[in-house]
Amino acid sequence: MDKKIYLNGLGLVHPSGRLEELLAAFSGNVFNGFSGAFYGAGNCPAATGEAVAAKMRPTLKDLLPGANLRRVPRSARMALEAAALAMLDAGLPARMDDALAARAGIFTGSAHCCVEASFGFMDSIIDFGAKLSSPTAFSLSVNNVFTGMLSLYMNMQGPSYTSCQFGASFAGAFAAAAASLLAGGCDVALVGAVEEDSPHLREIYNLGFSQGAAGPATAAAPLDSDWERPGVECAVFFALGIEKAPHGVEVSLPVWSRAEAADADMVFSALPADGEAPSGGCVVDCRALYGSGPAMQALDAALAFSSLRHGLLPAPVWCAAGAPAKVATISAACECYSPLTGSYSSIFFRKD
Amino acid sequence: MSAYAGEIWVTGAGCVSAAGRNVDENMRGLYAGARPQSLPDIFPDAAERNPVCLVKDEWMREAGYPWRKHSAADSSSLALLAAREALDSASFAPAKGSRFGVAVGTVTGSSLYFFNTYKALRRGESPAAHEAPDFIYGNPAAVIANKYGVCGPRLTAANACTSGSDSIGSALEWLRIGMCDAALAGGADNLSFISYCGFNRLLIYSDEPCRPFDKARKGLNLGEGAGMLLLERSDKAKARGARPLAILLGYGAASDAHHFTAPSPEGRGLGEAVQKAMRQAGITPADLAFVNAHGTATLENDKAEGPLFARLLPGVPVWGSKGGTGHCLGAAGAVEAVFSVMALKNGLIPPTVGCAEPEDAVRQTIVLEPTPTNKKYALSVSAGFGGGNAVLVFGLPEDCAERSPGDSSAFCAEKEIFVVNGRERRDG
Repeated sequence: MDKKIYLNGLGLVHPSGRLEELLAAFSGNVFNGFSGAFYGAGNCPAATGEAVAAKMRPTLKDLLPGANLRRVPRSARMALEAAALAMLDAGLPARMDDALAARAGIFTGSAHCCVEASFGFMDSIIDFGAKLSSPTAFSLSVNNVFTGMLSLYMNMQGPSYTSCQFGASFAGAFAAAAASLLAGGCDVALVGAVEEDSPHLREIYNLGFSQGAAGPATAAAPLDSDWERPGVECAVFFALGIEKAPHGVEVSLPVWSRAEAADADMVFSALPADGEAPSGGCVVDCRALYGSGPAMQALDAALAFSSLRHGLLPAPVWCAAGAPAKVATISAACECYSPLTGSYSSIFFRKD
Repeated sequence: MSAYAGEIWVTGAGCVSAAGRNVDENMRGLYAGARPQSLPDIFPDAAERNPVCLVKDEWMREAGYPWRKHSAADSSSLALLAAREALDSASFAPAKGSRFGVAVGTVTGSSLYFFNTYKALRRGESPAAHEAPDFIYGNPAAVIANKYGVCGPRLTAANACTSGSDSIGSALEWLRIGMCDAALAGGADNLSFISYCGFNRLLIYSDEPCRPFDKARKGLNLGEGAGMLLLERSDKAKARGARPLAILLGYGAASDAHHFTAPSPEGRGLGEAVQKAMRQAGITPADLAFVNAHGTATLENDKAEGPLFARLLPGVPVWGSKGGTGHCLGAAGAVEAVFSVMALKNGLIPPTVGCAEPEDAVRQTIVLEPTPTNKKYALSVSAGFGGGNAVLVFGLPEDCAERSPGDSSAFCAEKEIFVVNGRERRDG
């Protein structure tokens, strides 16, 4: 197969703002340069979502004129902003023209999808009874709400997928996108992760873990106390294509076992403390930056791409077996172990 | 990883729905025109008493899977049952640690499915002991992959009503690009109170057994079930002595970009998906034995689909199966992919149960009685919320080219009983 896949653009919306703010924290001192923006599991103030929405609102309006955003849920607006930024970063329009629309696919990973609407629909049943529950909340609680809204407002008419498998959601979306690009299903793909938090959701997780002894066999997967739980709200999107943008980096197909993972100069990893060290040189562990929520692999991929693109040396690095940190890196891998689904995945980027 | 240019074979199939606990029972039910609708007694808080199509509790108990826990475990149990049948029918056991893919489409199985627990927490009552852990550990693709210990790509696709078809399509692409050598692909969804309540609120739920493509249709009935296909590279399948049920020849996916919940009235995305899939398979409408329609029996869906088929697939027999299974949401495309494979293999198209007075657009093409065919190719079509559309193309292997059309007497001896709103009737 001659085709290759390139990562050509990135858009990110995060409690700290956009990519620039996250990168500043990443390339500086992670703990000092990121004040007030670290929302780890169980530490997410209720105002997080509103803060995110406030930061993105003016730009979103500029990017998508004419879109009726009033009925778009907060997390879908985050997704729209990040997706539009990714397309613009790749040198593509935020709203596809007809020539490009049919060749453009969307692949979203989300552990919980539109949390606000899902709880809203349940609330409406509890408060008013089934007969008077909210049809709007039900429509918006369907898991592919982000993907559907991106398709609608960005006029993307190719394949549309929503991968919904906890911490492995982004890897599933990435696998579907890569397969679609290589198999000819689309020529341009938006692939990303969107996560929304809520105190109700965290309460369910706390309850679930406390009751977990009754869970099925996969409960044997190792769990940190805060691993893979909701906590960080964000939307991260990448514009992938079969043609390379000037600043694009090549992407390999994701692999699903440690044995298949290629060596990389820089490995973004947050394996459990007792886990086996990844292969390759330096390990970048960003849990202190953005926790270990289900979008962690996508956030890692954003920083990996930016590191390769801008030649950044990330601050939160430790090097396996005493290997020195390399200043000039040409490859990076983002690996993710998802205890809740018992799966490993790794995505590999290489700069020319 | 290297790309594979050979055929992708369907070597195994598994299915459970209200029509039956395995593929054979499902096909017999469809051929007999069975109507498995019943009342929604599993939802005591429901506002409406509209028909639902339920998997029988004793089937799941006999199979040994957790059931009617009203949690994500129910969807995973359906997925496991269909997966087991698909693997057994192909005499295939995935090797532990192998690059074996798992793609499962679902709606309920990946939703925030803990209504009773949430309600209890809100009211300060004691929550059930299982719902929250089932949610956390019950992701369908993960449950299957972990059950068989495989290390290939995995995807729980939540693409609304195209989830099952898209999962099969994605697995086809994985095999073609070399991401794995074999895969279980399909969909699974149990009927949840949230879905039942939500579709009733959207006013697209029929208060009688649904009537796909009928002029007097009033909406859908929800169902539940799972469909799974075992997909293998033909070289690997031949090497182990396997034979194909069918060949998966094409997959087309396209989005309407029209409205979040309503289909494009002219079927824009669906038409694009049909054409993509047929181009990929290298076939024309004249080659088709039938198109298995999405056919939800809602006003808008059937109004978009019928004219589109008349325009793009003139003369091709149209068949909808949701009158015999209900709309299985994320499992629908997968269940119907299994039906399409088996109808093609049997050389006999099942009837569109519930359709008595067809819409004008399909008057000449709708299949109303079991109908023999000797053509080799079929389309299975899905469309969903969010504007997604997915189309699969199946074909028979070359050595089936001379087979005779199917004999309806082999499948249609039984007339099934159905019960709705307390009345028991015999169909036909």
